[in-house]
Amino acid sequence: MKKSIVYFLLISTFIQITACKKQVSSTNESQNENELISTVRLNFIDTATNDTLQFTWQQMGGPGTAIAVDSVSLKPTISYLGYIEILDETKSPVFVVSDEIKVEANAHLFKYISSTTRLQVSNTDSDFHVPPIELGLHFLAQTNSDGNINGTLKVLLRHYTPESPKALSLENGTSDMDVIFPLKVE
Amino acid sequence: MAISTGIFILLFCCFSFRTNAQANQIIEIQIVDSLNLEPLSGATVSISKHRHFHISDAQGKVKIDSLPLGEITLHVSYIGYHHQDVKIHLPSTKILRVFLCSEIGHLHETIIAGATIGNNFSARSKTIMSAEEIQKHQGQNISDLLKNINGLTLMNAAGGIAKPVLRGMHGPRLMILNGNAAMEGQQWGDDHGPEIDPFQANGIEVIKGAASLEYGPAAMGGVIHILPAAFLKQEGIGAKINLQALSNNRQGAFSFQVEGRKGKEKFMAWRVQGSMRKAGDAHAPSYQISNTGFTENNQSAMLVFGGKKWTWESNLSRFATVQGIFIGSHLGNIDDLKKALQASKPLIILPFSYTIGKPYQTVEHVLFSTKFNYQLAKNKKLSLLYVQQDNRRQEFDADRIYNQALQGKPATDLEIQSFTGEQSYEQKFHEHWIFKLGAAELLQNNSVQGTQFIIPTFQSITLGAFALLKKEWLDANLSLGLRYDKRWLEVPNYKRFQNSYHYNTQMGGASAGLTYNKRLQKQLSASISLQSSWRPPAVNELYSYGLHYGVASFEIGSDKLVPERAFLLDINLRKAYQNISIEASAYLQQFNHFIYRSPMAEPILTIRGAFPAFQFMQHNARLMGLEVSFVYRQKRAWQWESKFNYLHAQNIDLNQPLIFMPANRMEHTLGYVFSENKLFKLPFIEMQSIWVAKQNRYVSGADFTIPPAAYVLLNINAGGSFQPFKNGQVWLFNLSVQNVLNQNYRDYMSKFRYFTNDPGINFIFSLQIPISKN
Repeated sequence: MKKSIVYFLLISTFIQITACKKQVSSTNESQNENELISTVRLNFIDTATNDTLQFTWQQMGGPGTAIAVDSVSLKPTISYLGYIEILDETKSPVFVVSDEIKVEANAHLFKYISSTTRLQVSNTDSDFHVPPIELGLHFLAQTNSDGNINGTLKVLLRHYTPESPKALSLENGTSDMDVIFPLKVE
Repeated sequence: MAISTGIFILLFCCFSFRTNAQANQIIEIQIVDSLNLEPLSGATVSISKHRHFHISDAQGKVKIDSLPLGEITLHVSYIGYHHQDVKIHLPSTKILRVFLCSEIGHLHETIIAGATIGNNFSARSKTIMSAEEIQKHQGQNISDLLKNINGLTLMNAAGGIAKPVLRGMHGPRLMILNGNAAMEGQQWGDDHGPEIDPFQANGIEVIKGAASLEYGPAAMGGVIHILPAAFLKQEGIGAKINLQALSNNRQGAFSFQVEGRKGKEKFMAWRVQGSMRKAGDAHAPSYQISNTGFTENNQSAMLVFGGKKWTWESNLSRFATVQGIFIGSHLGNIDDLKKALQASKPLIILPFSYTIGKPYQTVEHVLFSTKFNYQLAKNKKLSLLYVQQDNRRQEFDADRIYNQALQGKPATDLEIQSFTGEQSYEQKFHEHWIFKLGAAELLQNNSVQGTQFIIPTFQSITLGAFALLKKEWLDANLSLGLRYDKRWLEVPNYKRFQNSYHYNTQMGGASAGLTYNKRLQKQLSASISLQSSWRPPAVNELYSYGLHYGVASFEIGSDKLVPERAFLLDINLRKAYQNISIEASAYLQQFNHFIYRSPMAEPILTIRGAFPAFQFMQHNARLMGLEVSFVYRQKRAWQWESKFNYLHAQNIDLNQPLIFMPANRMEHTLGYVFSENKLFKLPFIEMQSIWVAKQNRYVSGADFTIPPAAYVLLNINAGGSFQPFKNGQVWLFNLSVQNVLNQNYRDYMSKFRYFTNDPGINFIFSLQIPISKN
């Protein structure tokens, strides 16, 4: 009996000691290695003048925090060649998400949805499928001439998985990005 | 079962009653532990007015002859157990079974009574599910067993994940006690099931009332105690094989255990057990619920040393699972969610597979517990408990990560280590008084990795002290309990995106309870419980912040939360009349600062679009409920059992229902137990209908969809035991069919009800093969 008590105490002390050792010294700052897409930048090159317009949607503080967004302000009856940049500007150096999307082109698709007929956007590049399917890192934006208008330009990035493939239907997939820019054509 | 003549009489916790009689002057009784039904050898039986003592044999049996006709009273006692006076009317030819209650567990007050066993007086059934009931209802996880308890419903997350919900309480308000150890993991998650191997359960009890104060703040909604089989009571070695097959997700499970004991008074007992389980996709009546397969891999070992006055029991177990998460539930943003909600079936349906793809979660839970019980004197007992647990949970989302350096990493990676100490001292005094004093310490250390933020790293220390007092009369007992807990919680500096956070809190609170049981008439008894309990907010309620892809929602904790307090009034009535027993419980639980998830008016805007957001809030709330059960049992003939369950949960401050509370339900079981035949012993068949109402109490707009419609399920269960080899062991088998009509339905408490129907027809076969060497 006495022996057993001694064993009990010995073993429990041992466990307690090892237990204490096992505790990670987690008093120092912990940080999640999260990925944050902070910035979406639309570039419009005026085909007439070769001027480049830049419009930015930015949320630096993560989900739920303040959003800074430029109005996409375009001139009527112009063809713009456009491209999109997606960045994580919270990382140093800045992490270029759009480069990764280019690599994974077969699993992605951009959709530019204008609330008005005054702006028509169509994708000009394509992925690696055979035959190729549109991608949308590059696009053509065409404005027409029916007077001034305010609207919105919604930019969607659809993500496809092997279970829900792009080749089967563009309606598949889920949204990896869904941002809205105010739109002015004047 | 050794008693072929059957169970005739059931005695629970100090209640005694008469039995019917036939003609004979010899009486045979078997004495067993009321909790695990293990026979007690060495128990003493004496007859009032006689001086003879009889000692039970290895099977717990005693045979007494030369008895006079008429009524006699047997006095049954055993060290460490409460004695029992059993009145018997002679002559009788039956083997009587006497259930003795262990003193260790005797302060427990079970207010909720579930499956009543036996055909006579359903006294306060401490064991809500016995080993036999468990064999009958083996499912794919521990929660499948629990759902047979009246008042208990499940929160399902497709596949193999299910969480018990007792009277609307779950997660941090409901403690799950696995043997001696309170399970400590990430209980807050709705899709985090208890990490317990269902093959380890040999009995289940629900502890409520004053006695739950022994268990601390997490026991606010009660304690579900999973009882593993007790160690062998006699020398020898034995083994047991469990086999199980489930058709719906083409699941197979296997468990093997070996146990042994050496020594009689001074002894060493041991057990080693392992089990494996593999399941593929579950199947709704008309489609696969894709990526809901899972695997499970468990091991456990027990070692007990004992002497005349002491036992020292140590357990080591490991539970590991990989759980696929229903693929149709991981969505992009609110637009994707709307699309999925509008569809009548999941947007992605793949052919059946055992492959577990993303999203999935892996959980590994290692638990070590060691408990030392010492009988200091005949009326004094000391017990010391140490528990150490490690819970690692990794959740992998459908791949959305662009940064290659982060790819392959889990979205959530949490490891929580818990160290628990518990010391208690119990003493009887003045014959019928018992008191118990105890202290409990809990140290927790949670470390967080992963690519997404859900909860922060934290350390916490909780200290508690309790005192319980119990007085027993012949026909009544009264328990009083007091407890005080204090928790220190430190969240070290962490960075979430651009901002730094750091928290340091301490909270303390008292709890008190009173339970009074009274036998009003011979077969009518009543109990009343009054309780005030305290619970500090959990870490997720305080600090969570992030997207839950599971249901495309954003969850925000609130560091302003204060502890919640509950006041409980619980009344229970039990009446037995011949073959009938009726039990009714009514309860009222009033909460101050009830913590719950409340939908926010504005969605959260992110680069991925808008997400509905929920914030933890607190308001005063009231939960009222009623549980009624009716049992009719004829020996070797018809059986009827009905259960009725009603819950009304209201946010008093906002004058609106509390959402995500289980719907009202009703269950009826009609069964027949056949006489023994050459092939089978005690074969039975039963048919069950489960009706679950539509949850009409909801706040419109607070949820993505309105609650699903009411449904009725039909189940059939048949089983028995047989002896495949002459003079060999008795094998137990069970075949049940769930959702016989292959009904399409969605349960309100199912996490994936937004996207998919619940599983359809399921054939479950289980077989238990004992192997023993005498």
